[in-house]
Amino acid sequence: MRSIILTLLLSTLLFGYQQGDTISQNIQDKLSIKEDKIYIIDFFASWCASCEKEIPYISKVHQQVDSRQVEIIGVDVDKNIENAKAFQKELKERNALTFRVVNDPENNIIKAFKPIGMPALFYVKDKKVVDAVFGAVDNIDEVIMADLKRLQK
Amino acid sequence: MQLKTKLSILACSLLAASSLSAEDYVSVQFVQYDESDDRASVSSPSIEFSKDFGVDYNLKLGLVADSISGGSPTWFDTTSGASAYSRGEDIHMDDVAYGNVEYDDNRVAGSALFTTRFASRDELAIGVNFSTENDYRARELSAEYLYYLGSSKNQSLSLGLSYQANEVQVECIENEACDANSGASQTMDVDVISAELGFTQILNQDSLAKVSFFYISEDGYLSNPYMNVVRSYNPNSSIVDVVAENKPDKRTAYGATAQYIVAITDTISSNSTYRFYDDDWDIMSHTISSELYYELGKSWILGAGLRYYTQSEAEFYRAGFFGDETYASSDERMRDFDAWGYKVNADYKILPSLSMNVGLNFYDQQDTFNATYYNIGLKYSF
Amino acid sequence: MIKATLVMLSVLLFGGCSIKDVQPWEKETLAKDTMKNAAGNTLMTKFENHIYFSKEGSKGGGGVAGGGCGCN
Repeated sequence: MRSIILTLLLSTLLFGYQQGDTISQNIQDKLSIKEDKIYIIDFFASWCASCEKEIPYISKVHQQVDSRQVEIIGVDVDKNIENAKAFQKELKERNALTFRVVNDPENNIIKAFKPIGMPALFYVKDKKVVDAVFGAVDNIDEVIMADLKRLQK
Repeated sequence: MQLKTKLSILACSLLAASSLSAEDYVSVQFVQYDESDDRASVSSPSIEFSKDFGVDYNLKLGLVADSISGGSPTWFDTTSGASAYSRGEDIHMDDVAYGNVEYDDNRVAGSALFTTRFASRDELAIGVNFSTENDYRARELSAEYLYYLGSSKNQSLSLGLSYQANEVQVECIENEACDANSGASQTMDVDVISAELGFTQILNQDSLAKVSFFYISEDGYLSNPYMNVVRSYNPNSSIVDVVAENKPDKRTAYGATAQYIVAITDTISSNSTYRFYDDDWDIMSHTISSELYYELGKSWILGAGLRYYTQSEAEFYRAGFFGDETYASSDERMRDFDAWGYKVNADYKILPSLSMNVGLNFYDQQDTFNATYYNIGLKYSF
Repeated sequence: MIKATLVMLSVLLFGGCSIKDVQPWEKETLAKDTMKNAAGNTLMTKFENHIYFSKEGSKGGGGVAGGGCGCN
């Protein structure tokens, strides 16, 4: 049932990646997705307060996982690159941000994924989108760990 | 493989009705309000506290304490300066005049608003408000539901309902149930039901618009216990009857608002509203207000605002003497008048989590009074 | 059906402005405080509404949770 709702939802995204879609070479290059490990892509912005709240939890996951198997990539969609840099600097200073970030000021990367809300987390395995979590979620670190367990089977 | 979806949201919610946008803060403010001609003066400190619990819940608590003093206009005895009332004695028409009578009062009002966000990301906010002053007590229960249309959350509907059970202490002047000359008082009820339906549409990345319709129904003792009217002027003796005003015990109002908020450039934005109001006391009003904001650098937001208000007269209002009409009031607020309001304010970000604001405001009501008030406040986010 | 009606309602009401389906990552400007009522200063809005309801003959239009006032 959930996969039907999900397929319907994802199909309304028109041009975003749907479940099972392979990420284009262009996006793979932008995100440096080279290997077949699991990548978790977290879209955030300095003006998105809920995104900011989740970042420390995602960093916690980053500390806990084996980077040879799971890699977390943050994508900062601030259009103003100065805002992006200042935001990331402030987060790093208080140890809230420990994973690598790709800046997407032209929004080309997020447009390819077309999430229905922010923050948005996409799981990529074997260079294909396999799962997503949209919106503010409590204890996102626990949610991610549970998802990873499922995806790594 | 099962894909998980937590339906999304505009985590950073921006539609006016919503309160859930990652808000933890304490805000304090002080307002000093002074009217012209020794009329009312109010000193008003207030505080608001907002806390998110996880991503689905928010609680807001507010408290305000007003200290009011000064004069309020009504018919008064020119010898004593006190409010005039016949109460069985003769009053000569030359001994009454309409003007300020001294009074003072303290009002405390508190509010609590609890907002829940559902799996669909729609929101329900339940609020309680209470307010007490010397002779008036208000209690209110409200609920507002915010419903998002479509997955992009660019449109929403909001429906709000509230019920107030208020009590007024009234001196027993004309009520057989209590002793007219004893000065004793009794409690009269006022029930108010109001409803508002709003529709908000995000027009593009830089602007949004909102329309709403509202309905207010009041039932109970709607007169002001401190206001009186002059009746039954006898041209032979020049004796007048000065008695408590009598407004109808029901009032039904309808209205609509339209609002447009737009970011004109990346540093300038404007917020304009028009409100139409009409009730069965014959009062019809139009309100137009507009605010302009300018972001100066990274720390300052300068604002300026203008408001124009115009209303028509209540059918039972008269500035002069009445005959034996059932409903009679000389309450200035029931007459037809225009009012202009002007304001300027500034918000300064001292630290990322601490900001300060100051404002200067001016209100001018045609032919009655004008008021100057300033506000100063601090907001700490945590 | 409801969605279609509301889209038509928006077109009617907001007529000349063309309505764009704004994506979540395009909402930076809309998220600013200056795009909210009173630029986010709720305490001042409450005080002002109290003045207007006490000194004028109209009320309403600013949401229902306003609280009572001794302004009969």
